[in-house]
Amino acid sequence: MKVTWKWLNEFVDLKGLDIESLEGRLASQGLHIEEIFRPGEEIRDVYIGYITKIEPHPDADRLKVCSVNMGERGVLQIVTAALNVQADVYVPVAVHGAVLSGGLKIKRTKLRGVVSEGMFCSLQELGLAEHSDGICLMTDLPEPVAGDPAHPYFSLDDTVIDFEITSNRADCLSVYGIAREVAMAAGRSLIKPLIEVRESDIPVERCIDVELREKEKCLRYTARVIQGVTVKPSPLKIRARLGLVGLRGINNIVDATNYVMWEYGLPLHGFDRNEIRGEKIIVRTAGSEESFVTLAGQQLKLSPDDLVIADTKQGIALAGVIGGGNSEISEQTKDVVLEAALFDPVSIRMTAKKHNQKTDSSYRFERGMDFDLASVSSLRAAELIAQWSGGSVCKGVAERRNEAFQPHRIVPLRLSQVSRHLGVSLNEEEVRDIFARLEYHVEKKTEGTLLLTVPSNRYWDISREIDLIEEVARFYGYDKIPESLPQMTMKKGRSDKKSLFKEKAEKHLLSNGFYEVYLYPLISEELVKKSGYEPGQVPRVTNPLNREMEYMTPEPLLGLLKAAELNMKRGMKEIRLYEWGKGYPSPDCEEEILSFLCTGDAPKTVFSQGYELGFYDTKAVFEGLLGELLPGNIEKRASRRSLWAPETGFVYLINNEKIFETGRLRDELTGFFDLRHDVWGGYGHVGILASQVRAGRSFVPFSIYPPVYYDLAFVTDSALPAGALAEEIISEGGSLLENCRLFDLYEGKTLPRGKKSLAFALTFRSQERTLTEKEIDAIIQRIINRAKKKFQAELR
Amino acid sequence: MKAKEIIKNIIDDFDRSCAAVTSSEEWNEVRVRFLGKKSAVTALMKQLKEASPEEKKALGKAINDTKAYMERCLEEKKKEAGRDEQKKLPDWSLPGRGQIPGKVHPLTTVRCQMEDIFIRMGFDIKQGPEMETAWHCFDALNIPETHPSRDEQDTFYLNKKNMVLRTHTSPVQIRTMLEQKPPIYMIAPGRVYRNDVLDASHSPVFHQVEALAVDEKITFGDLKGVIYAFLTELFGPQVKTRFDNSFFPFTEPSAEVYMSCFCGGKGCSVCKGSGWLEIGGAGMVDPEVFRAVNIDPERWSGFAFGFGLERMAMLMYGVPDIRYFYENDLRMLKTI
Repeated sequence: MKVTWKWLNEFVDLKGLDIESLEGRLASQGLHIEEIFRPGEEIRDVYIGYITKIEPHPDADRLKVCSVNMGERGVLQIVTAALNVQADVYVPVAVHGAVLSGGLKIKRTKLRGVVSEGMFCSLQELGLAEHSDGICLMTDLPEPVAGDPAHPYFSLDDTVIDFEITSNRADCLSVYGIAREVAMAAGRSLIKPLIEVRESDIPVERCIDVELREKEKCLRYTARVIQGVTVKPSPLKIRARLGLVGLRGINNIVDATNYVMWEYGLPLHGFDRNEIRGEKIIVRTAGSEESFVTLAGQQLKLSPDDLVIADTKQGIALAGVIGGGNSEISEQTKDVVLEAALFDPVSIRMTAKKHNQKTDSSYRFERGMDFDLASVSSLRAAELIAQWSGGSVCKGVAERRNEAFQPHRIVPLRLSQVSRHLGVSLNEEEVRDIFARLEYHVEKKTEGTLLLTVPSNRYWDISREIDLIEEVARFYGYDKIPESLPQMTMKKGRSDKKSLFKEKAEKHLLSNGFYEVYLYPLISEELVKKSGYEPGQVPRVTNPLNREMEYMTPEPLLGLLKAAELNMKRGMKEIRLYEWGKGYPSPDCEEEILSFLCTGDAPKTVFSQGYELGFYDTKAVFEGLLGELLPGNIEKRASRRSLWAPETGFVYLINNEKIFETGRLRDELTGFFDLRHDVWGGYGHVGILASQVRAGRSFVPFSIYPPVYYDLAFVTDSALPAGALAEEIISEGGSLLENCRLFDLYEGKTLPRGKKSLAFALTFRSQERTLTEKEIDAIIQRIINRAKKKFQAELR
Repeated sequence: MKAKEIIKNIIDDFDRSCAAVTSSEEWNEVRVRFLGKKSAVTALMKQLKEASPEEKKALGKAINDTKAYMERCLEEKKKEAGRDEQKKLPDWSLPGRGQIPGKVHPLTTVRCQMEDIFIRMGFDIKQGPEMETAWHCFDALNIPETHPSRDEQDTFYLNKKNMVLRTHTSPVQIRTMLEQKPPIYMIAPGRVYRNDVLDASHSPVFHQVEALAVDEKITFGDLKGVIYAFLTELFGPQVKTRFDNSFFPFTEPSAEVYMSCFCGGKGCSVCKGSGWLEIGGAGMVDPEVFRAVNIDPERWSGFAFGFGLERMAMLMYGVPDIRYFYENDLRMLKTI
């Protein structure tokens, strides 16, 4: 909500203050300033000029050469292309060195060989309109002085303050309402300006009749009539002020209603009286399928939920939302019917929402307008219309209202509740004083309870005791309320299996060099399909930010591919990532998933050879994870998921429930993300994994006797898994074999084709005694025999 | 000179020389000098030919003993020298050996720090679904369809009736209050969604950490006290707080929470010259919210507040753009 400093000063005398000095106090009252803008600091060197002569340009039909009297600044020659340029008018002139809205710099230049010493400005170039047709001709000003700075003529010497108004403070959607808060912050009093309207002898009832049929949806309807208006642009100063606060000048009648809406908050509407059939305004609900054309030319199908303003034949406005094209103010309008009404917020909101007609008017009405505002707003608008259009205001107001509606709520406040909620004790005097300053009527009901009459401007916001307590806090000052800590009762502390699991899992991920990432769980339809899901089954956002973020991801691992791609593109070579994410395979399922992947190369270092990241790097992680689970029937099967390249995917299960999958991602997926290396990854179901995590292990007694070491190397078929041979060794080694470690794997020239060498380092130790060589030799021989028998493995 | 004396001299000389050996070069020099072809011992051997048979026997033994002694000493010395040579000094500029561990994301680091402080205060951690019902996300929180505040939520709607992506973690408060009786002290850290522009300070997906306390004597003073205790623990004892009036449908009174900027109030680019940083919303639980979850507002009162996790992390690490958190550039993940 933009207001200007000078406009505020019409309602509160702020002499000696500036907005910056009030900013902190206003913020604590709940009025936050979003921006303070001084147009005069941006726009420089624009002066008033008087065009004395216009001559054609010798070389261009489109251009004209003007002589401009700049008073003390002499006479300038300005070449212009403006179509509306004319002699004997005052115009704003940007001279050499001037700066206009948006930082546009003006310089002396030659246009088709003719020197131009400046530029005529439009309202747009002065930052006062979004769009202007032609330059600004200052025809309606009493007598500008050539050579004067243009700023005061265009309100450019004013300060624009943009307030952020929370949705409960409809009373602050106006200059007057903000002035009320500013007055409070500044400790000054609010001025209620005198509104002077000279009414004619013609009673309003002779021109218009009002029938209010819907008293729940329309609490008050007032109409005034202004006759004999001349519709034309409003005064330049007004257009400039409207421009400063972001409103568009249309004509003097519409501008007057907008000006008053900005000033007092209540949206007003002007109808062309001659277009109202039967000289009657009927406030009624729409018929089913009733059609209505807005003044923007949009055709709407109404229903009985919608409130319309109608004449005896048809709807002329969608009440409180938008006017109708059929009764709009036009240049031909002679008599104006001025509506000032109060509509029910919910009704307006639902209608505006249903028909997608969010207007300045519906914005205000749905937040709740002040019942009492109708009279003052109507009077003020009549004053301005009469002033700007030369019309005469009919005598009186045609008004209908819901008599049962009481705009001044009475709410009781128990003083004990103030301290209960705020933690600070205020006595009755202090509370009374705050409410008196806020224009509440205060009465004592019983000892410790006050009865407060809420001002009508806060009707929609303040209806409960707690709302009153907030008012007390707001004006007592949040900052004065002393800090304390709650008096808590101790309770049972509970440990959490999931966080235990996460901690353990994270240890394995981090120690293996994986980095945690955070991803958007939103993906495109294409990616949903690529991941093997039906888009129809996956939860979809109906109003996505863009197509790339339309579906909830059923497969968080895919998000990691995107992060891998970004890092690859930026030159990173060694990529290990993990995410604690969620999978959303259906609208009823949202599951915590731990995903991880690795791709690229681990570089060569002084201590180790470089290698391509792959299966063994992911295995390091899931081996660690599985090791944290309760020992038992973990089962491993080949995975059939299309996520994995053929024969690379494996799934681990506990009690037939999948806990974990891993594999190499299918080339089609990695190719989609422009990843050229193999990508190995996996994901785990956090919930089930966490339920299987083992908190601790039991102590295993260890031997104090010396170990005996023995190395054994076997030549076996290449296809034989090392683990199979190790299992046989361990089984044959029996209880004396403490450790069996594969320390070398060799395939190469010194071995026959299809053979490999596996070398194991064995550690033997007894729990009871020192072992003898003889004992060990016997075991070794048995191992050798078994390896030979089982796998035809030969000692190397 | 008698052979005996010569041998004694040789041994004395050898002992001195051998003791002085510090390198393998020196060791070799000593070996050549005392045991080589031109050594004194070799010269003695030549004398042996001229000696009488008795002398020959005694001298021969003495020479052999001497040679053996010297060889033994040199062997010892070699082992010793060898040991020292193996103990070459490491190159301190080389990196340590072993896998360089990864790191958790900065948002996790900050979330854990925040959780840690709250847990120590006695708050539980609660979680809830991100695909949430409109009732839990809005209606129960006093944000009815009929009120404009509902529009300010910038909601993403799901293609299932009455389901939305939660716009805040407050529905977790509702779920908790429906599940358990007061007293309740909980925080809800989690991912939330807003259909908002994506720029340096807005992300359609972000995180909140919300706190709720419901007890018999909770006051606005407690709200201020807990927030102050939390912020000073997180950012340091110099932190000051400011509470401005604001509006949230689910709290009354409501406040916007500010914390003094790291510039010490002088004004800088982070606080845009104001000296204050807006960090979250807070307030006393609105009685309407209590009614929605069947808690008697005449008996219980409560406070709630919420902070943006990304905002906290941006302040803590000086990250200038919220999008960096979701890009996951490893260079950032490794540094922070």
